[in-house]
Amino acid sequence: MYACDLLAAHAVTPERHPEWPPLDLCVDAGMTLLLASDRHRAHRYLRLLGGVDPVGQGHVALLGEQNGQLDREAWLALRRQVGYLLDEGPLLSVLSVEDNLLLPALYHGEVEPLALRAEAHRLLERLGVDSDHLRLLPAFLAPDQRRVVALVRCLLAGQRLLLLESPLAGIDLLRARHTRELLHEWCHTGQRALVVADNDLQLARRADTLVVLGSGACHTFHGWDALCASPTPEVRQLLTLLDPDRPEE
Amino acid sequence: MSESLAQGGFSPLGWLGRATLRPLIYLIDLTLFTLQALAHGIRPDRRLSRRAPYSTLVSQLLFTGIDALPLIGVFGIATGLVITLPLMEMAHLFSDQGEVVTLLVNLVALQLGSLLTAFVLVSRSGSAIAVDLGGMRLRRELLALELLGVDIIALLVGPRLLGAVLAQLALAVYFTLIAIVAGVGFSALLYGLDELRYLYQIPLAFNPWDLLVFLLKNLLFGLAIGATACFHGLRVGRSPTELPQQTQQAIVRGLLLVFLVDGAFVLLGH
Repeated sequence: MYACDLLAAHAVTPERHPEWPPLDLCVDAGMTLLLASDRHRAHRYLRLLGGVDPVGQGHVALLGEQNGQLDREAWLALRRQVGYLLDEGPLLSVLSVEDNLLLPALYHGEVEPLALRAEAHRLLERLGVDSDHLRLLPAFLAPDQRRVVALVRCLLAGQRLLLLESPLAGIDLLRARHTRELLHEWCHTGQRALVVADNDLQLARRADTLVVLGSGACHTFHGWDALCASPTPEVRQLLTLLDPDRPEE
Repeated sequence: MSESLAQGGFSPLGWLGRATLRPLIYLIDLTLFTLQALAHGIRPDRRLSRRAPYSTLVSQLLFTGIDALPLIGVFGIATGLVITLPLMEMAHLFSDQGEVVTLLVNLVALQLGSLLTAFVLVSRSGSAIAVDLGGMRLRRELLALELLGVDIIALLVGPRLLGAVLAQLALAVYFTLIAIVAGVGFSALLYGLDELRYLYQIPLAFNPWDLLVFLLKNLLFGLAIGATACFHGLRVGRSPTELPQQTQQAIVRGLLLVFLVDGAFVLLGH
């Protein structure tokens, strides 16, 4: 039995990279940020945590269910509570932007369509996507607009835990600022949690938990200040990369 | 065991075994996939009454069924001209009116109509479904949905399968009707209006068993075409080169399955 309600990882390594250091993580609420100098490494660990890739050693439990021990029905049922956003944020090409946004939430059938549509419009407008775009197919959107739509689709789907691969990559500055605000609000409303793999300084400053995925070990910190206070060379090096203007102590 | 075998060299017996097992395993995989898709497509799941699967079914019926009507119509008229008419001419030379009717019912209505409709469906809709699903798989659109708890079998495969089945049945009836009416019409143009009497006699020559076989055969044709297309579409992995390969396999194997089903019906009929 795990103490962590949403996500518990114990000494977990990717199946294809058994040489990587084991990761321990417990997620109950708030935002957890995975940081690594190599984005590929952060995504690999995130996929392990999200039950997307097979676990090599150790074990991961999502909502108390151990990854790899679920049949298809149970896996789909679990995914109603645990969402995952892929790096490129792919949308279903045959549906309009609006239908893409509403599809998972309507499919799960626990929301009122009109209220959902209004919420989708509100979120998109907040992130700077014009409502004129809603009737278009995703192919007609700019890549950063598609990523925003994919992110909003995840936020609307009604999950308790969301794992996001680089949600801010390739998004322009203003939109990225609004996105950070939105993510922060989302994970601090109700019993919800976000696990994000992104080397974003602003996000790191506000994250509740930070995990530095080094080549020798994985280091967990509760808050930005704790990370900054770490004497570990690997962490200091990442900190320099993340925040080059930061004065050396 | 010889050294070459131990090192994984060529073994004729092993090759024979693999060559025998491969089609069997393929058929088992395809059957299980089809049963799963049907179970998801027709079970009274509250989610299936929702908009997305329903709109997929309607789109599939529109594309596979309604959009194919002009093409099937042209094929029907052409079949009437190049098959029904010559058959009637030949039958007139060697047999009586009753045998002409039997020949048209057995050959054009019960065999050719279903088979030629299936050919059109495989080449037109089967390939489109395989490319459509394969492309979504390639761009990871389906994985993205699955990771949000959406069952893509219920959402995309079940409705496509049902759409293909219903479209095959409706188009086969439409094609057969046009092929016979066009053939009799051309015959009437060439040999006099008396030939139109076949239009009354042919419908009366069908017995309930024939109609049941026609119905079953077309349902299975539609199922084979839809299932093969979806199965191969979803087999596309991460490389774009897999898309044309799987599409080609969907078409070839879809045709092969249609022939196998047809052959089974012919054998059972005897």
